[in-house]
Amino acid sequence: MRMQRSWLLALLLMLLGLATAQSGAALYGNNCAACHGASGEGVPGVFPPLKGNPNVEDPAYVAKVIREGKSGPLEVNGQTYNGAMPPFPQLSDAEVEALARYIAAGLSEAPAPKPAPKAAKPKGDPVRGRALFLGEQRFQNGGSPCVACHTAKSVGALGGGALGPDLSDVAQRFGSALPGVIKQPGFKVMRVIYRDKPLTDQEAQDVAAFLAEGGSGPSVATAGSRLLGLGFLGFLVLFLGMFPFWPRQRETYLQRLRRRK
Amino acid sequence: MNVRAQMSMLFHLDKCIGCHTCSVACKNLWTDRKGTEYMWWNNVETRPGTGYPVGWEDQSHYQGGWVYDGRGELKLRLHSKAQGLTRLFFNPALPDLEDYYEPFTFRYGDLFSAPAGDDQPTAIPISMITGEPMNIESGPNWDDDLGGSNIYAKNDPNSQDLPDSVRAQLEEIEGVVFNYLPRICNHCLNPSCVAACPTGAIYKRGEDGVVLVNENKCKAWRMCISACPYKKVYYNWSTGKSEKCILCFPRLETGQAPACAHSCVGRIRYMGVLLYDADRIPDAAMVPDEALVESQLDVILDPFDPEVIAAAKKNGISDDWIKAAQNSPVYKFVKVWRLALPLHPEFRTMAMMFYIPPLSPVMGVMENNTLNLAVDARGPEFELFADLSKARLPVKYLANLFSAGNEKIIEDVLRKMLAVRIFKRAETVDGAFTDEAKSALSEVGLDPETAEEIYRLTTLPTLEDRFVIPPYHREASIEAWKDPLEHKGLTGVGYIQPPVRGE
Ligand code: HEC
Ligand code: HEC
Repeated sequence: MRMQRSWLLALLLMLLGLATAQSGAALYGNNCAACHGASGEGVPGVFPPLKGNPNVEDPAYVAKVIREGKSGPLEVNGQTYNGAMPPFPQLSDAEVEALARYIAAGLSEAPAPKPAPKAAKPKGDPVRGRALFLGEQRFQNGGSPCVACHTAKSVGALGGGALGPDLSDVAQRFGSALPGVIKQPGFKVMRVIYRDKPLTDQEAQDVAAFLAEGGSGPSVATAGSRLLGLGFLGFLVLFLGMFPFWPRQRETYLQRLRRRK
Repeated sequence: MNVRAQMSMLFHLDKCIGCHTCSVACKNLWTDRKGTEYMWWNNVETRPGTGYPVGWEDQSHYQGGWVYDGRGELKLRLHSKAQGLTRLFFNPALPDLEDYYEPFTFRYGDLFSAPAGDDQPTAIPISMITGEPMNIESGPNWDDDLGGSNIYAKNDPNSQDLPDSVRAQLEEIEGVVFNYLPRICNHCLNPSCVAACPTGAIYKRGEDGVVLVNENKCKAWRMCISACPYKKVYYNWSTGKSEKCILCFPRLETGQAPACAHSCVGRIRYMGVLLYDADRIPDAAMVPDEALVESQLDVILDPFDPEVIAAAKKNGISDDWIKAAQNSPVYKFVKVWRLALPLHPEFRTMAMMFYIPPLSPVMGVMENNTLNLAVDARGPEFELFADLSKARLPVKYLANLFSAGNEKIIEDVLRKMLAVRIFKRAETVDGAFTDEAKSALSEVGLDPETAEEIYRLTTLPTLEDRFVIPPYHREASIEAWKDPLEHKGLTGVGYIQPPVRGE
């Protein structure tokens, strides 16, 4: 009986250990790889690497970053970064610990990186992506369309909003990390806006595909002068429309008397 | 009974000589400022004529006053409540500056600085709005004494329903007639300007019924200007606020008659308190046109009635105001003798300024190429007393002005005035109370004492008879909200926003 019990306990512990080991890699693939790269290589200048990064050898620090997020300037191997990483409140303490240990160990278990499913996902549809970006099609969770704050190539003559940066060249800069960035944006404003209304994986893929496609729309500079031209044209049309009614303004009483005379 | 007091003015049109002294006194006192150049809170019009602003009585154009639907509802002609909201930014019923006139002055400096030449230098007219030289094409009394009558008198809205023969006669030189109509704000009992104001900036003040614009609240919607059927609210283009006649309340509060009344050389104006029943206003404003004068006069209460006095006291009207109401010349002319009428009662705002309609000469009759004026040998008043259709100013015309078309009311008033004239003429010319005078008085229901009293108040009144202004008791109202000693230091010439040293 006693023997049986200890055996059971051992089995449980083993299973738990296995689960932990697996979840370290899996959690990384699901949560971090989008930005920091499938094997922790990062994106130079945008997302710091997590492999070969002396800062992350301390699991406590990594755990703190995961819990609280991080923003502000930092330096890794001579490369400076000044971005923002969102916190991950959805991860449990155990998961954070597992992740931190996994990263501090230099992603050493080197599990077959899970981001594969992401890469393996069907490529995004740029046509649908454009519709989503412009708000012609709604995001499934009700997030605001990107055009409210961003402009990009081929979004039409009027261009998009000016709160966020121009996204025309964003695909080159972020490369394959783009869908992840879009899905879980680390930027202060967007983080807040999409926290409760996240994009689905497919939507992120589609928008990224659209942004990657680029297209040969007007540059931001020409969009401005175009807007001016369109405004002027609208004014002209309005004025011409008013013109036939102009003589029919109410005549004054005195004019009426003089005319009747 | 909800008794309130109204300071009211009365105009004896038979005495008005059209000198515009009232207008000038008012202008110098109140509207000699930037933005008010075109305003004449008091103006004098020649009738027949179109007045100032041109054609103000034509509500099909200006949309002022109230309309009664005959089913117990009184509506602003300008707009319903919903329309008032949707047309907040669209108010085409406003008079144009051209309908008033472009205010002008003259470049008097030219008279002194012109170089020597063969001709006299002239002061050319300058627009007071643009400062540029201009051609004067109209003015606030452009049609004075029937000037330009082929445009103005001909288009008088009050003569449009006269028979063509009468209208033709008015255009003949033998039939020409005119009189003057001085006008100020009527400080109505049912003011449509107050009703139309979207911001609630206009109010009828409690103590004396003066209608005022709160300049701090006014947001320049200008609905009051369209809604006032008398066009007596004006827009100050410089301050962006509406302004109107204030019945010279600062003068009233210090015991003086309004400047227009005080300066009147013909002494045609009377000031006095009327007590009225505010509860009766809605009913009085909703009767058929012919009954409007009667219903409005019914609202005015008898200040000798003990019940009225008790109710007045209950409403906080002080004894000296009640006494002033009893001595009010306006009350006598309006209610006791029934000689005075409101201007255009059909606007249903219940105007509280009253007019005694003017008498006019007998219509000339051409006999053998000579004009026979007085057919009755005893004098024209007998001629007219017998048949008012011989008056040069058609009774119907006066009825359109003062009784919503009810000629009977005008006839009663004119005949009473003629009877007093017959009575006094008999006394001074024949030296006796003749039978003719007796029968004339009894025909209009006057006794010799009353006739004498009418005569005295009409022709020989002293300043105190004409202006019965009660004490305003400012001290009481000051005490109510401020320490009087502190208030004393706050009045007089000063600043609303004191300047700051160094700015
Ligand atoms: C939205 C993109 C994004 C995601 C997803 C992301 N990070 Fe980051 N991470 C960043 C950025 C950007 C920085 C750099 C912040 C800075 O410049 O201050 C960063 C910094 C870090 C750092 C600090 C590096 C240093 O050198 O100090 C750690 C550790 C880190 N991330 C761990 C993780 C982990 C673990 C996950 C997954 C749970 C993750 N990150 C998910 C964008 C991301
Ligand atoms: C509420 C406005 C807003 C909306 C909506 C919005 N963004 Fe942003 N975005 C910003 C702002 C602001 C920044 C700049 C970084 C910051 O401070 O957050 C930004 C930054 C970005 C960046 C980084 C650009 C760079 O050059 O670093 C990308 C990529 C991006 N947004 C993509 C998107 C996409 C895709 C969408 C639509 C799903 C979107 N954004 C919707 C405001 C918005």
